[in-house]
Amino acid sequence: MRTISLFPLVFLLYLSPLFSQSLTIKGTVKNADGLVLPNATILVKNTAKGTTTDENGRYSVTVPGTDAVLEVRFVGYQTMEVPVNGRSIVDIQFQASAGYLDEVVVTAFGMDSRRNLTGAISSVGEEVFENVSVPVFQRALQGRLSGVVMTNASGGLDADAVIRIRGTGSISAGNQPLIIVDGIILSSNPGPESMGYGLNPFLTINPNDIASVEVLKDAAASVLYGARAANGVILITTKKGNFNQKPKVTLGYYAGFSEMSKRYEVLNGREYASLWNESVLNAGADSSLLYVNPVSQPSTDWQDLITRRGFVQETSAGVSGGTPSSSYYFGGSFRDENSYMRTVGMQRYSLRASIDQKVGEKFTIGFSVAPSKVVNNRTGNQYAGSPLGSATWFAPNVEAFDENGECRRDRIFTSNGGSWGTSNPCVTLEDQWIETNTLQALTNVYLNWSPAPGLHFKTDFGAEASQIREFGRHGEAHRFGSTDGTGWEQNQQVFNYNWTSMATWQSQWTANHSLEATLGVQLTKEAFDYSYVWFEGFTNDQVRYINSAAQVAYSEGVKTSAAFLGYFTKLTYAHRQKYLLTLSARHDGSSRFSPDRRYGFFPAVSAGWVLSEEDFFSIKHVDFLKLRSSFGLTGNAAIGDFAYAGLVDVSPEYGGRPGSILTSIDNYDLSWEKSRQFDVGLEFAFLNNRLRGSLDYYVRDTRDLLLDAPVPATNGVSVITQNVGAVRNQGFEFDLSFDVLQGDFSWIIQANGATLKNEVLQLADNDGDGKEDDIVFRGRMLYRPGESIGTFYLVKYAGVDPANGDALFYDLEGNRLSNQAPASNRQIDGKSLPGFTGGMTHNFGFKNWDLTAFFHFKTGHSIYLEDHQFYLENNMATGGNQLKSQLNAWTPENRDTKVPQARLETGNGNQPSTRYLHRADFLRLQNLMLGYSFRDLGRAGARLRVFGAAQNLLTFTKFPGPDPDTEFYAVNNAAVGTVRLNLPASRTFTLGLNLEF
Amino acid sequence: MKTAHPLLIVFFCCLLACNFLDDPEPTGSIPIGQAFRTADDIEAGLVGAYDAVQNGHLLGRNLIVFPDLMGGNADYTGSGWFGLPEIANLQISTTSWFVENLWRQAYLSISQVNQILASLPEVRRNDASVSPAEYDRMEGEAAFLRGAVYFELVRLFALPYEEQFLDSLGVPLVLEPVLSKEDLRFPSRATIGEVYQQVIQDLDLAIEKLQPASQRGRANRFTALAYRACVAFQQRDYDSVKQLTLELVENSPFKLTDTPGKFFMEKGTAEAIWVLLNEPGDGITGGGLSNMFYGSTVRPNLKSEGYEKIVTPEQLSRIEADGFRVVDLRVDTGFISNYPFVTPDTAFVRKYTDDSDTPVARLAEFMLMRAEALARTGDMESAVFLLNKIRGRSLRIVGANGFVVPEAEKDYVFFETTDDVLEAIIRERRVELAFEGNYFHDLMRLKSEDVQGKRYDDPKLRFPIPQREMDANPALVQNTGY
Repeated sequence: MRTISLFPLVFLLYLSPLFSQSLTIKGTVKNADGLVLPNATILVKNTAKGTTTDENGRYSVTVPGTDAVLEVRFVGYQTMEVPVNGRSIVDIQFQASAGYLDEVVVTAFGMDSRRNLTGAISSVGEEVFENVSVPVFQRALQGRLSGVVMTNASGGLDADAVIRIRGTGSISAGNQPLIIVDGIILSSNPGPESMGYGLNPFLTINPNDIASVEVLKDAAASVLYGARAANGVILITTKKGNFNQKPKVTLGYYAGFSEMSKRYEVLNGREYASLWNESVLNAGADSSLLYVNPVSQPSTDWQDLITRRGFVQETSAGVSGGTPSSSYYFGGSFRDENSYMRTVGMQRYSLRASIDQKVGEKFTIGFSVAPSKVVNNRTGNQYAGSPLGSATWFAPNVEAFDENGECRRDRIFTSNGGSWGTSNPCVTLEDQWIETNTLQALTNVYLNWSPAPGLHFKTDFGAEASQIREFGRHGEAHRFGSTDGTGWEQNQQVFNYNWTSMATWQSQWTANHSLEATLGVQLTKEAFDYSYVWFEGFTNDQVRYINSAAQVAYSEGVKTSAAFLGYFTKLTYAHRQKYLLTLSARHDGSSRFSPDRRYGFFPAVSAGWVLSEEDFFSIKHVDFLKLRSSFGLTGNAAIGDFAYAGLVDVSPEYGGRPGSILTSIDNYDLSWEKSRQFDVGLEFAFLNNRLRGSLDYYVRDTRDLLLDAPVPATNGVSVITQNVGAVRNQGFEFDLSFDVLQGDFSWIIQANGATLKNEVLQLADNDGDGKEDDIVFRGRMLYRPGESIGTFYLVKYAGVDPANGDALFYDLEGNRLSNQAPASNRQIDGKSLPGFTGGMTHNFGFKNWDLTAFFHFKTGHSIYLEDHQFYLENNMATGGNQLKSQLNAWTPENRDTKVPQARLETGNGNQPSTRYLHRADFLRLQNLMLGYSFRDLGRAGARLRVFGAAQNLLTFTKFPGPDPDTEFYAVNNAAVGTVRLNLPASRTFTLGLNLEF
Repeated sequence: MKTAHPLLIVFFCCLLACNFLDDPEPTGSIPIGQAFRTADDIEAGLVGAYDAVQNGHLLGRNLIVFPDLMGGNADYTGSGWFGLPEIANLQISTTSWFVENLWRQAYLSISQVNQILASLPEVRRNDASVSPAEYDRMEGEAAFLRGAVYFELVRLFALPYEEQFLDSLGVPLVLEPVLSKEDLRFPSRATIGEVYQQVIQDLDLAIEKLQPASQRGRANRFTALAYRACVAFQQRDYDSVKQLTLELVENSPFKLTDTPGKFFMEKGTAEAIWVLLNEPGDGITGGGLSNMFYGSTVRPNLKSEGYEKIVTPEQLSRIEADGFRVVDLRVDTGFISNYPFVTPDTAFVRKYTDDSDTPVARLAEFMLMRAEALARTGDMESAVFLLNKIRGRSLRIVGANGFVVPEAEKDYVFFETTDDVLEAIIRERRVELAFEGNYFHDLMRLKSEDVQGKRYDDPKLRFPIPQREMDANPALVQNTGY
């Protein structure tokens, strides 16, 4: 720590020559549309003095006299000369628009113009969220940003999403990007997952509050978060007001309905009873199990009984504006959604207030707060005993209702005497009651101090406080209801803060040379705790809470925290805004590593060359061309809080006495996982700026992986985290925007796409045989040098023996094995990571009409259907209901089939194999919207727009599961590519209106 | 510059947070190096080991359920436990969730015990707060748990105990603690003979170190003797069984409860030698034995070859000649039984409630074990005496008027031949101990030709080494047939 205390001193030395001054003038630089331009160059003509504008487009410069002339430059604009004429405030506005490239982008350090960037950043604005009916912002981002791949954990309202930026770098540490809202690093730990997947942690963020989303993809772009940016950074900026802006009011409302987009096509009662009988005979089972008369069996469609037509409505209101010294934004919204699952719903109440205030000449302070409350009525998901799960395999040949028309709660028997218990799908849904309440407040305060021209200090404090309380209850008839009902309460609390302070010095040495230097320090603390109690014994199913339970059967709790401390510096040099060079470095420590291994060093360098500014550059129709490149290191520390320490857990108890048990072993060498990324990109604007975009190529090598290497469970632990191994991701990305037609009838196409080639470079050799050990997860996801992460590794299915209906598998020599193939015959077959992903938006306008269609796609990957293996296509191995595909099972009359003979409770082809692995390429019409605007209603600028929209309208795919865009396993996992009773996405239709004045 | 100073301090005062990174500390956990330093620590570690052994994947539930499913006493026809039918039908896959967790939980327990045994000598030297006898108890309990778990493992993952198989693959023997990355090992499978040797060594140590009395649910001298007898029984070493059960059966505080159901209805009966406690806070409530057996039906064979043949044809003819009939209190026949184990029509397993402790060893089992050992070594009279104590508790001879006729008991206590006695003991064992985790192991011991249609040494009667473990440890060799 001693070296650190020198820091402020060094700082003062560094700055002291600047504290000399004379006559100062100030102002704001804007583009033709009235938007502020950061980083515009202001030179004082005939002197060596100059400056650049800050993120709000403001500048301040000293001039020798009242008759000085300012020279204002911004790439892509004609340089302007502006006489001061004795004014002390000189506001400047460029005339001709330069189009997309003076788009203002939020970087880690504040606003900047896309022109000046040397890092790789993709961004979208508020238009992708406006009026799009999604419960959480991630879903609106699917397919919108090149190289950003999102997959929903489920189609459920409250499900989390897998987000991967530029591939999957880590095998065992977290792979989710860092998500930052207005400078607050949000906790991305999923909420309670007592019944299926974890609650999406971002449900509290109202998508309609978002002004822009920037994705920082390379080391240069993510300096400010570099130590934890190995998986990329998603920077969310919410709406704000502007100084000197007239109040603007926006009101919006939409409502609509939703439905399950696809269902599991299972057998009806008669079909099931027939297949059952067949399977009894084929297995040589006891003939007492046969249905006497299969064709007269009753039939119940369980999926129909647990689903409904969902309903959604959302109301929002906002007002923004500003005076010369202050700006504000206030907004609020209410969303009420009932899912297509009968008992599932969500209500979100959210408010947001943001105020910026200038205090005197040198200070600006700002404050924003966003309180929200979300109530989720949930149900179990994605396991066999969940409502949808059981609706697929539960016997269809029984009656669902009693004589009163209520769900039956007695023990259900099929007519052959088979017992199905009391927890039929209807009971499973109705007698499980889960209410999850989330309260969250996001708060941010900052102070800017500009003691001298070109010198800025900024300190910024952001905090997230969240509390999730969940109440759960199972009735007596429910499978988890025990004898007298069970229940649980869960309380989870997050308090995170981060405090960043930095000093920036901008200097315009001469007309051609500008330099910007930043030094800063950043503190982050994350604290998490939760407690959980499970209780039993209720007098009846109406009483729900812990106080009415007879006893607490189980309880647990955790309290943990992590701290990060980082020092960073950044140096940017620009020559005539033509040659750009940025150097940055960070020194970061984390409490997640042992005291000796805490710190990591993360440097980056990047450069840009605006070719189109060169004198020699005169290619027709090329308006702008920039080449940029970067190279740097980023880190990842997304592991358990004390993964380095061998720990003994003191929660066990036996016979009423407290005990302890080994949970992990000492591992003091653990340190940062590092990503080394090279990026080269081209940004361009052609044809009078009608065709704009960028093209990138990157290679990201993640080294010193925080690898959870499986070790033999005979050691008492089954994995150990080690810094070993390397993974490479590389690919091309493009973002394009093309104004195909302009004028009355307009047509804009926006497209993005990314390729991905993922390769494991190196793994650990723990067993000491001199070879790197393969890692196989779940018996089928292979990690092996030379192969893509989580490559499928399965016994190859060889169809059915026409002679006897046995399933066949290939051994490694290509011979067919009957009925069962040992795991030693596994071979590589198919990737779990898509090789090409992207999206495309068509935007049509005709007078007051607008039409938007947005597609997204993923290709090149496969998904393993665990639900088909375990329950639905297993040839009656578990005796539960099957998919209609199983009607094609082998019989002496039907020998040419791929479906083996059905044999009750006898394996025939249901072992893990490529039989359950399917290509999952798809193209989805994600969003279609038609709107009509009434302009200048009553007063200039007022606008009313009515619209109709559809979400998830069409999916083109050959994938046999219900939804190719979901993932079963936890969102942080490297090994994606499994579907198991995932809820399919909902299809939503809405109508709404916006009013703006 | 004067105004600048205080402001700069505000800006960078976060620099003063020198020990910021040292602040987070684990709560609810203790660093491994500090966890086994005192006698109290060792005791806590033992409690943890019991908790691990009591886990549903181990002795708390599955090791009690599996042998009756695999042997063919019960069939799982319910819908709540996926993966259980394949165990009941002997179609076990290498990726079975149950097998993988059984393996993991067993070695977690062993690892915990290894740590206790390794720390004990030093703690014994340094901490005089407890008596040497207490330390002996701790050592005995730890050794007992390790022996018991290895015994359960070798019975399920390896071929049955037999001279010709002693050099066949058993399970890996891990006896040293693993505390850090450097301690990780990739053990290969020891032979069956080696595993049995280790089991006997551990159990003998436990017998030596443990006192006859203990807290409820904890191991004591009798518990260790009981397990040691089970090992000898599995080895078909009937002379040793006779010796080991002498103290357990003839010279111990244990007593049969007066009805067969009482042991299962009430906690803390004198019949219990070792139960794993099922109490609030233990975390297996609801997911315990009753839950898993809830969806299990009694296979017809247990009725036709078990309950319905508890008396021999000769005995039955004597009874019927007197105009009486037999009632078995263990079966619900609408008679006086207040706690039948099975129902006659739907034949559901009803032995346990949500609150039941898990029975691992109870007196009746060892009386029958002793009876069999006596019969096999020629002492028929003592064998029949023990057998009839068990039968007498459950069998009632009922007259035409529906009342019990106590004096008619004589009709079923005599056997015609010595083969009849042995057969009756074995059948009684199957019925009395049904759903308590014995039947499969008995079939192995008896070298049955018909374990659900398979010979006792059929490869499909062994659990596979979990695929996860095979993938993680190249030193392992998979069982034949997988």
